[in-house]
Amino acid sequence: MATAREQLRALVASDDPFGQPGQDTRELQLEAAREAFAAHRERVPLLRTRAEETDVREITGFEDLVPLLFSHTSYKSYPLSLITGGRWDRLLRWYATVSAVEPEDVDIEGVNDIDEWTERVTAAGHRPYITSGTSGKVSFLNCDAGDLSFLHDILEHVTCWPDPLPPKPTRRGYLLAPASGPMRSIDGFRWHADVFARPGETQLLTEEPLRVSELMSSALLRRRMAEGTATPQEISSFESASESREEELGTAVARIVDDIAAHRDEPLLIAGMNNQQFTLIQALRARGVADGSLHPDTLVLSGGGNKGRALPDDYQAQFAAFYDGVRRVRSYGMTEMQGSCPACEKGNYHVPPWVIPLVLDQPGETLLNAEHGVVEGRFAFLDVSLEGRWGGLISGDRVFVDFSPCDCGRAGPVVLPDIRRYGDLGGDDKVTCAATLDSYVRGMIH
Amino acid sequence: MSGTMLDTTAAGSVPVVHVVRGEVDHNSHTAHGRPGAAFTAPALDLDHLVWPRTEPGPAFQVPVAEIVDLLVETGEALKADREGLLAEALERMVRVSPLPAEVLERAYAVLWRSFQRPGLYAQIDHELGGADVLDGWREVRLPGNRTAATRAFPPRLVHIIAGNAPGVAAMSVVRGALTKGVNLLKLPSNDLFTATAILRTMAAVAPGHPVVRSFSAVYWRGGDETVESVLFRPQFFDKLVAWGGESTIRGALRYVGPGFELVSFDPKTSISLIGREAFTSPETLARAAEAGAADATFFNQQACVASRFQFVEGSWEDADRYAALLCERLGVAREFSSAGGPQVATELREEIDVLKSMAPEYRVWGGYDGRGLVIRSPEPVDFHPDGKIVDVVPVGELSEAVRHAGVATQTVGVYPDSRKADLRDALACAGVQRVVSLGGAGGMPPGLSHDGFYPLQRLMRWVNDE
Repeated sequence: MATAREQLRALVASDDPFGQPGQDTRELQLEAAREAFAAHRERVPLLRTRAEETDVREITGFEDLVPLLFSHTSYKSYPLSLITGGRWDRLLRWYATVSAVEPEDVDIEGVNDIDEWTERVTAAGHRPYITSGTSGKVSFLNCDAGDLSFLHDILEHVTCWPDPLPPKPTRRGYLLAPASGPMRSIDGFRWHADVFARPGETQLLTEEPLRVSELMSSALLRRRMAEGTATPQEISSFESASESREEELGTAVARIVDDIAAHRDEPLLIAGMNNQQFTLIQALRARGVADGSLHPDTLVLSGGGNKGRALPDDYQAQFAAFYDGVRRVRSYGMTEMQGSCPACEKGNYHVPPWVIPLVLDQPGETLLNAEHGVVEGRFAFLDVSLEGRWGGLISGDRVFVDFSPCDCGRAGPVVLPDIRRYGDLGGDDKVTCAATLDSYVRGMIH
Repeated sequence: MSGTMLDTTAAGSVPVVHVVRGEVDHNSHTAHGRPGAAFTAPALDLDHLVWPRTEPGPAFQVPVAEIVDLLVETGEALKADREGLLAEALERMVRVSPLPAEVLERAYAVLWRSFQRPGLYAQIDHELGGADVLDGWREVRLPGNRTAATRAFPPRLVHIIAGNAPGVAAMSVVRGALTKGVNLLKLPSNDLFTATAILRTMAAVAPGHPVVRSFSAVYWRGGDETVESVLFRPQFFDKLVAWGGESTIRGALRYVGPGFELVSFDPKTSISLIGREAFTSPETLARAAEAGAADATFFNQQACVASRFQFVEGSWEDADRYAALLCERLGVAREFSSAGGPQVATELREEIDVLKSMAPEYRVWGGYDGRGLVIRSPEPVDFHPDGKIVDVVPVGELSEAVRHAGVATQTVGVYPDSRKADLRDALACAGVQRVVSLGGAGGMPPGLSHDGFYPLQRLMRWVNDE
């Protein structure tokens, strides 16, 4: 007999993972939450500590999950000195408190930098996905092999839901990203290219892998400046390295623009975070590629928040205009969640069945979930599919969730399109992968 | 936080009084603040906030002795609070300040101390070399048998004051009065009442006195360009005296230019160094922990002199013994702190929860209830301990801790006193401004430098007759 978590994961390959009856799903989810709590309490020390301190012994209802939710800061709560001081064993011990990694399974002998450390964790069967914000300190979100294969299943079965795209490699691919790196978006883009693009016909922004140490360079430099050990020459080199990277990437974008212009009548795959997509669209328009002129079988993947208002307010409308008539993935999600919430025909974001949405009050203390109707609050969730870490997380997003059946006819709950960050509304800050890749691509990390 | 928030209705908003050139401003009130901390203040009349340069300020020619007498009398009046002005300010302050009422009460009860004659003369004598240069032209001998005269001429000052401790307002009024210049004080939203209560008390002591007419204290939203771009001009003021956070200082910098100077009391933080002598006996350890706690809890750790990182010379076990005792002492009420305090913010709790899971490298004493929490860690933590949280870090030698001091480090408390002499040059080299005996961080004695300079000397305009 499959466990509740297995039953929920298996839905990804069903006819319509988002069309399950609400009440049945909720009961299965509650059972899966119990299973996930029991399993992760044994393996994730931070969850165990949290459960003991808040005296949560079992999950009798969704409200019991609230005190057990982590915030994104949990995943970057390591002391930076562990990295600057090269204390890789201690960093591993930290990682083992927030994930299902056993320190003895990872060989860190001879590790020299954070990239090698990340590789060693990966070699031990885990994938530490990183996300970063403006501070430069990155989060490490653990996935294990099962989580990665589940992610792959999601993209193969759900891409372009509610009108899923057949997994055929028929497109010419453009990935506005580096060749590799421990970021979920990079893996996601590459897997999409494997499934939907013609072999050997995918172009990258750069063949260089994304290096964690480079993403963290501003944080590390700032640390050394605070300690008084950074020299003026180092600071100056840091600045000029950023400038030359910006130039290189400008050249890369120009090359891709030319190629897209030459192949605009073919089906294409264009994947990139919103900031890169916006740059590309501006360049294509300047090159004379008109709005709505791409081949209708073109697949466009984008995402990432508009952190720091790097994009104009109407960027979504500009995307819609330029990519009019092509297949676009539209969804609401975050790296912390397996897959994301895709938009239905009515434009509402459907929460996948393996994710339990938990709408909280703004301080994140009280559960506001309802049987029916629209509830406004802070978006939190438990992703019961996750094996590599505890999937309970509080986001910084202010959302409206409709717990009634959606206008599209499917059972709820759905996240309505008006999603804002509490930070933008005058509250806290939220870290997203958009700023991460943007920092890397523009090379501007301070 | 929600427990301390105010009613958001109009009836619940707190009225702020303005003083303009020594008189209470009766302009109609406008609404300010945000839900939960709403207040009203009189609409600004910008023309009345400047003193035209075509005429000397009211107090330019008043002898210092008379100003000192006025300040001392003001101090006596503050102590007695005959007019009930401090009581009124306190009652309003309690409704909007993040500090607990008992701490505010005790701070108000000692505001008068800034107005004592010996302290006032200590500032004049140590910072300016005597009252003569304030009252007239001091003759100076130059090389080549030449003579010249110099005078500390009254300046025109606009002050952006900090509100984390009521004493800042008192200190600003004292310094402004001793300069004999004209002073516009911008009230901070976390202390909208102390400065005006002091100025009104002074006005009650000597109605219409030139020094009284030399002061205004009003509120506008910090950074409001419609006010600041108009007032922050050399035609109206010589110097901007700015306290506070980075955004305040950076905002102020936009207006600095020829003829308009910035005197900045920069954002600062403080640390403590505890020598191995603390472990000589249970008594010495208790003494060090009590002194460390006093320094850490000044204004419930809201002040810049409040210590947040304490470096202990010894093993992890030694540091743990100190940390455990320190945590006990953090929960004790003192003159400028309360036994309880603000609950630890959620973001900090997350970070501390993780550290708890990383024993034995990290250990944590105390809880999140605001009575005090101590973390012992092998390296300083990355986050900013705030709200009665102290990070205790063991070091092999106190000299190793010096690398954790920098230009943002204001006060370093050292235990025992005898260790200060060996450390002070290195600390000064790193950027530190004050080295004090542990337990002595709170309160700055008048007549010494502040943030690395002599404020009174810096506020004056130095004019020569050659």
